[in-house]
Amino acid sequence: MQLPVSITVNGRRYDREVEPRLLLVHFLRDTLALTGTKIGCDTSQCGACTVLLDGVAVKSCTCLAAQADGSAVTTIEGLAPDGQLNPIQEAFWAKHGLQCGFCTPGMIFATHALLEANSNPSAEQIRHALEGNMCRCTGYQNIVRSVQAAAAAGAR
Amino acid sequence: MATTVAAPARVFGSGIKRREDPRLLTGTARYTADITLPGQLYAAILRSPHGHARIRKIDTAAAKAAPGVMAAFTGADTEGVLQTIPCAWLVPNSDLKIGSVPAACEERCSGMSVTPSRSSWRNRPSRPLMQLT
Repeated sequence: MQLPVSITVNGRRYDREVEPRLLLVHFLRDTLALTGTKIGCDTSQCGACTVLLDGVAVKSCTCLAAQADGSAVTTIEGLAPDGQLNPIQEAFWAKHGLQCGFCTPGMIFATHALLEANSNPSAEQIRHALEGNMCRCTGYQNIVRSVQAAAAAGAR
Repeated sequence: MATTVAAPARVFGSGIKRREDPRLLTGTARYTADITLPGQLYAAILRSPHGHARIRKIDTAAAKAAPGVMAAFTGADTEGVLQTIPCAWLVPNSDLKIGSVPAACEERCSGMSVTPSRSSWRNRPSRPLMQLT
């Protein structure tokens, strides 16, 4: 059985037929070939697949593509379409908030969600907000500094 | 483009932006799992659930018969083809000792099935089809 879905990703609308069981992250990576969104765990623990779904940060491995029908998704490819990094990306670059970069797209969207709710978070609030995102390069210290720098720059 | 990095005037004491970061920050970096090639296959590896045990038999019949599975390999297929895989490296002239080699290594047991699934998550069913006793 195939379900028709219409999902807008990074401002472009995609009409596709999908299996009901297809996860949003597989829709993005396999169907649309947008591989910037990562799969780190398969168990909804690592947060590498975090994207914006109608402006809300969600783990795209916990969401079916069919659930995103009619919605707008923003992936990491949509944050700097003209090559101009957004302030959160700039802050992660400047503060060395990444090593291998695998967790980075998810970290950036989790940061976005945090700064939307709290424009000046404490280090503890940052750590709490990012607890659903894992970094296996053990880069948390610099990730916290990156988020603080992004907040100081007025990033959302 | 705003994402290029100029060479710093001095290295020590400078905050230097990494040249590789722009592609990592924008989702354009390619990791192994992001690569798709024509006819690409995916491998699934079955490991022993026991850290130290004797493997009596690996039955790959059901895995080989499964739709989409191209091959299933076990240690028997590597007999005379591969050398024993070392499980550790001992410093020469040291008195370090390694006990008996773990069963998985000793028996070269790692069963592996390869399927032509377009996406790695679709080949999951082939793995439980291998019986390891």
